[in-house]
Amino acid sequence: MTSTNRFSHLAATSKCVTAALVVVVGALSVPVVTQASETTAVMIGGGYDIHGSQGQIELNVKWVQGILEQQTASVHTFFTDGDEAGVDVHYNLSADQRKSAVEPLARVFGDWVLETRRYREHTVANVAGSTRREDLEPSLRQLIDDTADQTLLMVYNGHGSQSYSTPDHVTLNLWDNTHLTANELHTLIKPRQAPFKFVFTQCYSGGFHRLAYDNPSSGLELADSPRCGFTAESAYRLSEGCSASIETDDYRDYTTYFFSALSGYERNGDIISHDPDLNEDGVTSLREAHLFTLEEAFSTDLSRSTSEDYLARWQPWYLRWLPEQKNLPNNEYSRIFRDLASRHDVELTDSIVTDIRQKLAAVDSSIEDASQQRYNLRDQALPLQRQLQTALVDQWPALLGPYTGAYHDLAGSGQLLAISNELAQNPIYNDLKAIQDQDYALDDTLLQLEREATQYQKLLRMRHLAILKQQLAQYGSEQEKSDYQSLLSCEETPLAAQ
Amino acid sequence: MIAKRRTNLLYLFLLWILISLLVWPTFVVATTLFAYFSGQAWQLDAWNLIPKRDIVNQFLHGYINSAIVAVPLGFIAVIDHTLLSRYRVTWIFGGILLPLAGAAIASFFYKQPETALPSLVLTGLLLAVVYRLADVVAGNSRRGRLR
Repeated sequence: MTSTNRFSHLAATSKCVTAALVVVVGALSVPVVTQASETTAVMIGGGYDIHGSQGQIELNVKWVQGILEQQTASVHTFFTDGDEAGVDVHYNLSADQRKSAVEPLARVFGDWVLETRRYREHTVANVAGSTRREDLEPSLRQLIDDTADQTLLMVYNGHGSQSYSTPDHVTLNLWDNTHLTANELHTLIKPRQAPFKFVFTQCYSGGFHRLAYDNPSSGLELADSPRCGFTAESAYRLSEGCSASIETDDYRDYTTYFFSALSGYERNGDIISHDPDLNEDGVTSLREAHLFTLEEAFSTDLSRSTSEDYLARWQPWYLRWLPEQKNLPNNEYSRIFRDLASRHDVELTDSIVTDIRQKLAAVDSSIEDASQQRYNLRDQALPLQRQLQTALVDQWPALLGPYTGAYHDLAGSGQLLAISNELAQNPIYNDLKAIQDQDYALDDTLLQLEREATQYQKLLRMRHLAILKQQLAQYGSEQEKSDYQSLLSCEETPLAAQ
Repeated sequence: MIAKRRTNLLYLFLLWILISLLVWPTFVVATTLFAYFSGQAWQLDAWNLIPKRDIVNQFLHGYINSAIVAVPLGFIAVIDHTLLSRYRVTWIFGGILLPLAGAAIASFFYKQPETALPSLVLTGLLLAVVYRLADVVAGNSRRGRLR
């Protein structure tokens, strides 16, 4: 009896592409773009209401929609309120557009963020309908039926909510504040026998890996049909993105890297830094795009695939709590670990893990300092705002009621602009402005620090995954190894199924 | 004489239960200690990245599943006590079978014994300390079987 079997016994832990077009630009090799296939794509995007419907989601949806249209048989897009009349996207004015005549008043009365925000109708083409639950669910049912013999790929770009019970209760936050949980989606796709794949980039998206399992709430037994996916985050963490900025360089979520690997081009049209086709078969698989993302993404996302989720869930009790081995096995996660270590100036020494933890602690400490600095700045700004508000309201009481006739008269007579101009000369206001500008600048600082911290966490995670993969090979039962292989097979297919 | 024998049997039974109950928590403490100093372990990252309730669930899952190892280990403590507590000179070595059992488990059941050996030996040592303390509290060091 092998030691694996012994432990298993002891612990009782049993468990067409029709054409390919190779695009070569210059000296760089870029991934193959496959065309016309047996894959139907469903693209669901947008926020849950106008305030949660950021311009970047729309931009991402349009970009991904273009890639999906090139590489899959058909794309069905559902976005916010569909084609109903009314604004459903908000965006921030770019820095050079932010010259507002009433900026001083907006700053003093606490409306500066809203002052730089604008609203409009979405410009996504070929929208099949709204993401409102009562509209989307029947459409999804129909699509699931219609694609019974095809691969169905679901891509979601929007927001999600956390589950305080089991991970399968994380949600897709749909238009009009409606929701669809992972458990409910699991029920929707239950009759399917053909492959189902998903790419979800919202906060807490990791809970959707439960779609691959027979029981959405618990257990390690896989569903009968092939299901696998890729998520920006775990079921417990916020993902990056959700910015109202429409500057393409300002945001970089999972989609940004994943689909650039699949298309060969970044969102701004640049060719990607290196070929993600690891096995050099001329086709970039979904998993290769995911590994490319793990390597390239400098964001706050700790992304994961279903096979990685499986590895983490599989780890048996007698291995989980043990300190991990120092020597890394030879697999793809080890390679990414070494590449990332090199990128982040972490030396490959015996003490590498403690070095990473020290660096992580230092960045966490900087994040705490920056957060404290922000609290202090807000504490300084508040009395200045109150002082200025009191002085202004004493002199112009109409300022208190911005939705009143008196305020309308004040604005109509041009007095509002005069007040704003006068306020701009006030030394207290200038102090306030300086403090607020420092506060807003800290947002960027904090984001950069959080991204840096995530890189160290990612290093630790890659190391952990490398060891987990080896442990599965050593300690897993035949069924568990077979299940893991089936997930890998599902992930190792290209965007357009062959 | 019969009363003394019954008391001794009751003590051995309670020792079995005590050690069996403490095996998993002691193992987790030992592994976490090594993990903290080596910096490499699931629980260090889990503390920051997953809800505490999930860590508790994993702990409880391990507690239940480890019973298959914990109960025999408790019995080893009983054997140890039976063999070594009779004479003062052998009592000095009382509890030695527990770290040895830990080393045996690491060598016999793990593909890479070196990763499990320190933690399992430390687990055995900590359990031996508990066992010895229980012996002292029960008064076996002053009276009873010791001669």
